[in-house]
Amino acid sequence: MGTDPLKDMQEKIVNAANSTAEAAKGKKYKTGGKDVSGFDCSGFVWYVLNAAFPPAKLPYMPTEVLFDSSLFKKLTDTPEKGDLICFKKSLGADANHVGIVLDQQTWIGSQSSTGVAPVKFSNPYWSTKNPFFMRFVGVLPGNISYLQHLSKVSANG
Amino acid sequence: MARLATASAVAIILLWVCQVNAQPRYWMKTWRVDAVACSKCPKDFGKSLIGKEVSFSDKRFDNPLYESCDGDIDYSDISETDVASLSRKFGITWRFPKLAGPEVLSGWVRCHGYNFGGFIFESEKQGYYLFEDGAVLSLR
Repeated sequence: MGTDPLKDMQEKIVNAANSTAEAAKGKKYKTGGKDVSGFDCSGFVWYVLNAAFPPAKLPYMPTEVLFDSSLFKKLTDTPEKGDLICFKKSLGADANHVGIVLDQQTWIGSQSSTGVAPVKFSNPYWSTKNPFFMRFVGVLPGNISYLQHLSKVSANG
Repeated sequence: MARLATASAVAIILLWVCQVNAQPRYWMKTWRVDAVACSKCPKDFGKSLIGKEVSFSDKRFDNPLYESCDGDIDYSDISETDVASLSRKFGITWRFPKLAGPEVLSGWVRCHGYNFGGFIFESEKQGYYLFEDGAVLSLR
């Protein structure tokens, strides 16, 4: 682990994504699924982030909440590993979708046609869906939203 | 006694291997998408998919619609399936087509252990690919 908090965070997210995927691979997609017996897309991301940062106790967020959450920052520059790849429901997509960038070629998520599986950025289906990217900034030093969240968690026991 | 136990174990393994090998493999070929059923998809959704070919072979799974696999391909999940249990096997994303028999061949194509696509084979002339957005692609 280095001293760059962002790089450390990205490394933790990718490691958690890979180990969660290893445990969940071969399982079918499950609507509302939030554990390795079967995930939906937001359940997978929520599980991975909590596995990467166990003390954070992040609340579960469906995609429409996650996309607007101040714990995540919309990116305008090139995504890096550990960032979220996001797809908004549109004419060509039945629902919102979210996954985690693993490297420059691949992201991973729980897709309805596969369950948890890696997807290439060149995937003919997903590459036409105009993704945007978000970075989890919750645990970065000084994030006020996260500090407020933590104080709520500790107040509720 | 030990010999008998060993012989029994070998016999059981052989029987299992024979059973696995007995699964029809007529689906190991190239299939072409000839129709798309999807109640939630936009009108032109199927147009770009029709005519595309999905190929199953021992060493490769070629899928120009989604993800291909050229290493560690695993078809062992494709086996006789009770039609009534398809949603248990694949989930509730799809409205399954009306199928002729009480049993079909179906299962996940896996690559490095990950599901790369769910397929149903009704006969050597009719298959189905369970795609994104709840779409069911008819394969011929």
